[in-house]
Amino acid sequence: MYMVQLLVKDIISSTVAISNTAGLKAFDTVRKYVLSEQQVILSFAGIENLTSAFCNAMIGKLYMQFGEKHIDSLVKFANVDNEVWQEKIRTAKILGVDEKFRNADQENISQLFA
Amino acid sequence: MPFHPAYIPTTTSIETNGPGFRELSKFYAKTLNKTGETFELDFSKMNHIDANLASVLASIKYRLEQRRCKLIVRLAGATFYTFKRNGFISYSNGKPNDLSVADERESTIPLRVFRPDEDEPFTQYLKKDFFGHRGATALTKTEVDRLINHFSEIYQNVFMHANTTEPVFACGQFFPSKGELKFTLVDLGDGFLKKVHEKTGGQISSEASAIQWALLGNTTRDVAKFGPGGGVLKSIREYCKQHNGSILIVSGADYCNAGAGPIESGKLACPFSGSIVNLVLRNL
Repeated sequence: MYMVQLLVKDIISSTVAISNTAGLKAFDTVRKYVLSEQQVILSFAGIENLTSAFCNAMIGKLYMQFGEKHIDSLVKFANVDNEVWQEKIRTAKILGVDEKFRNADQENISQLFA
Repeated sequence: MPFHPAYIPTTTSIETNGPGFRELSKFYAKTLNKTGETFELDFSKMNHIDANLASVLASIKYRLEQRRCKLIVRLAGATFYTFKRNGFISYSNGKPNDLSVADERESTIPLRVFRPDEDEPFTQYLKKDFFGHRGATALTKTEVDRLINHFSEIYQNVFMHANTTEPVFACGQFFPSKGELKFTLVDLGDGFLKKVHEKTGGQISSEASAIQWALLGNTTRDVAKFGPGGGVLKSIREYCKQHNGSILIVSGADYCNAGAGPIESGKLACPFSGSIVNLVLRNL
């Protein structure tokens, strides 16, 4: 099947992918392809900085809304050769699919501040 | 314009810790609710002030100027030259972000003022001024990437939670011989308590508890709207611990300092505007 290649830097008009807002912008773009069952390659070529805030807003939200199987079958990530970035993308995916992991850090308030 | 007697700190050193912030807050308390007056902060007898705290002084000056007050900061000796090199002196003279400030010794990290949505300039600041610094040459690329990520997360946290369009003040200091890095980011937004109080249905009702709640990994993030995640302060705290350092957060009149041991909290003489996040990293 034909795959569309998207450049993150073009979607967010920046080489710096650090903000939640930029992540949500990228999410909205990819979401349209996912809704039309179009496979996409999301390339991080040209991106100089990537944060968890960006990854969680884009990748985490995609996995949270559409599920692991659906996103894995439609979206591929390319040009991520930096180990810190790979870790962020993995974490964003887990946060998106695993509700227990997502809430693991939510401490019991009554225990903490009793 | 009424002129107040100079405030002279009761200590000879102001560092990035609870006592340091308490000292600064004692001065700030004298300025609260005053308009059109002149205040003088006399540091000329001080042996040392952490240069990263220039961001706190700049934010105090900004707040005072909003009330048509004037702030005079007297510095002397080595402290004067450090604050000259990092740009605080020219900021005090009304020239914020004067890039012509020469640091011929390349030993300081400049004071910069950002809007909360200036992702690219903030990242450039980190790359050029922090990690392009000669004190950072021993850091690996992976380490620099992690540090830039953590600092960016703090900056993003401000944008997400501070609910402000007012400036954000950043400054740092490297101590290459000790492998120590200090970073201070000041915002003039809502502080921690407001959103945490709402999120917890009123169970958390003090700034110190709200800071602790965030440091333990909790988040006020609206997951459905913004995606999963949040709780970045916990991972940054872990990172600081690994580097024998600490994260100190000031919100309102409370502060919490999280290092290797339990979180310590304390009271300041008066509330600061917004929040102040400080990172101290060692063994770099």
